[in-house]
Order: sequence, then structure tokens, then C-alpha cells
Amino acid sequence: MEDLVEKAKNGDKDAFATLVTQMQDDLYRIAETRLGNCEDVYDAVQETIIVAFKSIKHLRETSFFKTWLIRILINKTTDIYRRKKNRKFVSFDEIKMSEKYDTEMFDSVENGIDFNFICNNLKYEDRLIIILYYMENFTDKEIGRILNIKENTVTTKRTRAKEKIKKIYETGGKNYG
Amino acid sequence: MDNDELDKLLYHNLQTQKKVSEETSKKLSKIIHESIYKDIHKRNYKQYSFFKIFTTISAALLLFTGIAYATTKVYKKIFNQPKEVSGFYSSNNTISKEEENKAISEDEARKKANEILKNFGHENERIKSAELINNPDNNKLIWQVKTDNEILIELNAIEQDYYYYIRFDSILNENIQQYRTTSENAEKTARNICKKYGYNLDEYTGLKITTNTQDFDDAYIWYLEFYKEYDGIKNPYQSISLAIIPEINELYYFETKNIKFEDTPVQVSEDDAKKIAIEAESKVNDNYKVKDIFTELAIVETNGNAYFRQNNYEQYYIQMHDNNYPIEKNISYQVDSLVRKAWLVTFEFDLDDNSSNNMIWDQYYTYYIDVETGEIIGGDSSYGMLSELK
Repeated sequence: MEDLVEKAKNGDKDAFATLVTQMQDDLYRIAETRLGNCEDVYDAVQETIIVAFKSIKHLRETSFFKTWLIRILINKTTDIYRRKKNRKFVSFDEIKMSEKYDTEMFDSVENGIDFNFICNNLKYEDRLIIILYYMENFTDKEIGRILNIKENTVTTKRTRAKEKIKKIYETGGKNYG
Repeated sequence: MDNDELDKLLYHNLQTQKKVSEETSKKLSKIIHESIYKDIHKRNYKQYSFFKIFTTISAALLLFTGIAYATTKVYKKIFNQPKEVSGFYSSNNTISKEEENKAISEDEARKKANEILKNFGHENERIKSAELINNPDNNKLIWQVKTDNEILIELNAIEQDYYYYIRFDSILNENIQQYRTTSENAEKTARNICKKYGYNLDEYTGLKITTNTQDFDDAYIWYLEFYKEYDGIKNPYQSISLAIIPEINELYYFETKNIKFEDTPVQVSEDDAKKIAIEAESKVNDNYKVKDIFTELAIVETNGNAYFRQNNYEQYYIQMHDNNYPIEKNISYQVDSLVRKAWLVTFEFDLDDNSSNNMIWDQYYTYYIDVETGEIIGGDSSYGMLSELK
């Protein structure tokens, strides 16, 4: 991957396209944790790609590429969310209350603890941490880098989010929604 | 289900669902192709050039040297020089001797925990452990106490702050059938519970209600935060929060915070706050274009974040973003903890601008400008992205 990043830094469109294509599912899912509408998710991915291609020449370390790209994506999802809601700042809980997840249907998992369960039952920051950890395989340290929060904070938030998932699931979350 | 089982489940289920559908995949491929190989027009937005703003205000500021902000009145400074600390907050729950000496003793913590348990009707509960930990949410020390029957208590380890949190995990083992209620009934239940445990909510004029589900109609756990307000501004440091399960009319958790706060008058105007932040940002901004500037009043806790970024810009971002940066070389800046009313001035930088000669990492940075003294009393690089008031 680092060879491709070097090439992309030098303006190689094909190299950049390959990099982004390898990550397209990740970008889609991460944007989905904030934006419940699939058209908004596509917009976020598109804006991220445009900005990233223009800026990649400034990327200092090729090994940073994935976390750097995801950070841009998270910023873009915030922009779109705000534009959509026509307000400057919103709380996580307002997002939780107002978004309806109408993105593509998943194959249901037998036990019910899936992407929709996470999105419906956790506030945004917690669900983002869970998705980045369990779906995207980032470490707590890497998640801290992406979100600009301390690694220790990530670990604690992830642990508490898991406790919440466990408790909600065990007491009736199986039949949520 | 134990933690390991849940871990395996989360990994398995979320990994299984990572792959998008064929239809979505095709659409994404098209988007990738169009974004890279075709011209996409930039969106229109207003831009602030730092150079232009800085030269406009610098003439005014020259008249007021040595004063906290652009006015003829001088206010006492409240923000002391932050202290650089190495490695303190970097590793897992490392607590220095100096910090440990400031904390109340374990015996004192156990005594307070027992008082809390008694207040909530659990005077016979046995404490099985007590641990001094670094609260990662605010880097303050707390005592974490656990009992035999799954009650968790966290309480402030430093005397001047008043905070505790108690959670009854075993409550969720009750046979809850997803009983539904309304937000009005949930509020009524919460108020009755607070009254039962001796908490007067008269001074808590603000209320935020959320639930465990997207839709109130489906919720069975309700989260209520009663907070004090000052001229309509929420004080998150003076609040009572509780989670209730209306079906069984029981408490899941209860938290109270009462951190000392002096409600100072707003002496610094919004425009002046912006100017102060612009001046500070122009000293470190290396040719980033600013897309927009947002301001709002808030009640915040002082921190050393902006000081760190102003005085050690490279270190600030390198240790944040370099995955290979040695943990032991991480530094942070400690300040005397104060809760103050402040202008939050958030810069949104232009990620689309390719004239910048720096790697674009952060789209936002927020300065806290004290409304009385005009000092920069803290900052946050996540606020704009995550939009959470701390």
C-alpha cells in the first residue's frame, strides 16, 4: 500500500483510485454511523475523495494514509450533517433521536447485535469507536489518533459502550426496532 | 454473556456486515471514478483570509498593549501558566506520587461510598474493591468502588470538587418487557426518584431527555439530565443525571456533579472574542485558509490544550498523529482547574485548499475565551468534529 500512496502523492490517479477502492466499504460504513440517509453517505464519500486527492501530496508519512483518510471522512460527515440540519452544532443525542437509518438493509444476524443495533443504541462517539474497533480493526491508540482523544479515553469509552450493549441486549434488545 | 463472548460476537457480526451490497459497491465505484478522473467544481463558501483579518485588527490591538483584550478596562487574570508534564497521562492509568498525595485516602473513599450506598437503600452492601483511577474524560482522579452485588460507585478523589456516580447493573437483570412510556411520565418518575433520595431539583432549570433507542416510542431506558443554567447557558458541571427504567420504576444509574462555578458577567463581546482567537490562530496558522468561524457562549473547564498548541505546535500534532511516536515522550500541560463562562470560537479550516504547505489533519480548532478577562483559558481540537460540549 505504501508504494501506491507514494505514487498517489506524485499525482498518480490510478494509484489513488486503487487505494480508495480498497477502502470503499470502510468509508461507506464509517459515514453511515453518522448519516442515516444513503445519499448523504455517498456525498460524504465523494467529498472525502475529492479533498483527499487534492491534499495527498502534503501527507507526511505514507503509513498514515488510512487514518488520515478516515479523519477527513469524519469531518465531511459532520459537515453534511450540519448542512442538512441547518444548524451550527448539534448534540450526539439529537442525532440519535432524529436520524432514521434508511441505508441498505443488512442480512440479519441471528443474535441481533449488528450495525443497526449499535447505531440505534449508542450515542455517536461511542458507536464510532465500536465500529472503528470491531469492524475496522483499529487499535485504541489509532482510534485516539483519528478522533484526537487520549488512548485511555478510547479504552474506557469502548468498555462502557460494550457494557451498555451487553445490558441492553440481555434485557430485551433482541427485539429492538 | 461474558466480555469475551461479546467481543467475539461484535467482531464476527460487524466484520460480516462490513461488505456493502453489489448495488452500493457499483455506485461507490462510479463515485470514485468521477471524483478522481473528472473535474468537480468547488462549492461556494465564504472565506476568511488570515492576513486580511489580522491587518484589520492589528491596528486596533496596537493601542491596547499589555491588556487582555481590546478595551480600556483591565481585569485580573485568572489563567495561570500551565505546567508541562511528561508521560503523566500517556500510559494506562499512570498516577504520579504528586497527584496521589492530593487525593483522599482509600479509607475516606470507602466511607463516602458507604454513605452513598446507605442513601440509596443499600446500607448492607459490601464493598469488594476500591481503586484510584485517572478519569479519562477529564484527567481528574476518581475513586472507583465496586460491591459484591454489581453496584459501581465513582466519586471525586480531590476534595474541592463534588461528584459521584452510582450504577446498579443488577437492575437490568430484571425481566423487562420493553414497557413504553412518554417523556412526560419519564420526567415525572425521575423527579420522584430524585425527591425520594433527597435531591431538590428546584435550581436545575434545564432538562435533556434521551433514550436507549432512536425513537422515544420504543424506549425502555430513559436518560435524564437536570442541569443548572446561567442566562440560558447550560452548566454541565452542576447537574444531576439519572437513567431510569419506568417499567419497574427503578434507577439504573445516578450521577451528581457540583463543581464550583462563579457566574461572571460577559465583559468581552463576541466580536472581541473572535479577534482574540484570530490573533492567536494567526501566530500558528501556516497558510491554512479559514472557511468559517463559529462562536457560542458556554461554560467550560480550563485546560492547557490551546497553550500547548500555541507554544509547541509541532509536538502537539506529532504526538497526536504519529502512530510510532514513543508514549514516554508524550507531554501535556496541566492547569489549575476552573469552571468558567467562555466564548467558544471555532475555526473551520478549508480542507479543499491545496495551497497549504502543511499536512491537513484537523479541520477544526476551538479556543475558549474567558468572558470576563478575555484570556484564552483552553482549547479543543475535537469539538468542531464531534460537536460535543465538554
